[in-house]
Amino acid sequence: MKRSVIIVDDEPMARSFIQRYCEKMGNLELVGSFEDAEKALDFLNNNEVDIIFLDVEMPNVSGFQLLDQMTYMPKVILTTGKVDYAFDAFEYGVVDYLKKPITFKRFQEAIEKINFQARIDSVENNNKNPDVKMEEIFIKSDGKLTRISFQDILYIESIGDYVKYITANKNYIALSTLKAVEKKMVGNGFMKVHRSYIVNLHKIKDIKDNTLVIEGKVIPISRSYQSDVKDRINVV
Amino acid sequence: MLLFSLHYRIFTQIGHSNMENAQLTYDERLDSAFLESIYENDKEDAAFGFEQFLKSYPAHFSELELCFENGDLMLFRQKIHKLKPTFSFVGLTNVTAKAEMIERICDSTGEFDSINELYKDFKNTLIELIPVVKEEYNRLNT
Repeated sequence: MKRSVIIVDDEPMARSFIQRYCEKMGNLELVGSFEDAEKALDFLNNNEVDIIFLDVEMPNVSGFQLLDQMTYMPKVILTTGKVDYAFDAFEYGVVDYLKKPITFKRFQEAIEKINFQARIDSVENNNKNPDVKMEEIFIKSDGKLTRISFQDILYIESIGDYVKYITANKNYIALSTLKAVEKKMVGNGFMKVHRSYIVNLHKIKDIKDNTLVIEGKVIPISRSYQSDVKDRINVV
Repeated sequence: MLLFSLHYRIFTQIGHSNMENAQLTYDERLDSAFLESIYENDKEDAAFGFEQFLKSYPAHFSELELCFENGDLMLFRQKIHKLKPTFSFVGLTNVTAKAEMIERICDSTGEFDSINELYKDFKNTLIELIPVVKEEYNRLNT
């Protein structure tokens, strides 16, 4: 299976070479090439990729700032002209750090590191019980990653470029889209009921016509989701 | 006939092997050591690098010139930062070094006056060496 790759680099020559090396490898599929981090972030919020080749120094938003805003973490290979960022790279858990200009040999080594990690991940996953469902999520909010159990989340609301996770005790706001959240949570007891809402089905108190109530909050149900909601709950 | 065939095979194998292993050489005005380090004797990669540079630099250089003429130091600094590494891909490491110097002075002084002479020198060196890069590209494609 081919691994999906995006390149985020403001230097056109660097992008051209990484693209060429991806083609030479044969097992990498380039799905996007961006000269700035903002456009890349838009893409990443709607598409999950396996590998990012990421430049550090870019105008407006740096490579590290892009990583701060991501809701999931693919394998990251930093590409930079300087070696000053090694410590930060370590902190962000990047797989490799390629100094420009990048040779094909060095590129191959970086991909081999990813393959090696994937083999370890695969062994670890095989040792896990496949029936165990994902029951928690890490949310990047207030500059840190916070673990939240699915059972604590009442509903999730879209607010422009952000999403708000509402729990009984606290609300968390993260830079993301409802579409990205939907991919991760729907099917784990959550359901999208409106273009701005995903709800925890176990927390619904009442349903009436085109609204439902969770902890006193009245949430609209779009017409297109009404029959799906009824299918998902036990009506006696 | 058998002897001829054997000689032919040995000759062609040696010839082929020599072609594969032949060390790429570059014009002495370019930084050969640097080019060898990035292209690792891969002629196709080298030709690709030269091609990409020749395709992209005119537009990027025009943008840089425009920023210089307009006196937009911030944008000029951004453009030269972006353009800086591309010269190395064709062995113009001296031009990259000049660009780096200009970038550093932009950062430290924030004034156009301090980079005027350096920029002229950068531009003249580049204009002088572009024909060498073109020649080298043609040679890599033969």
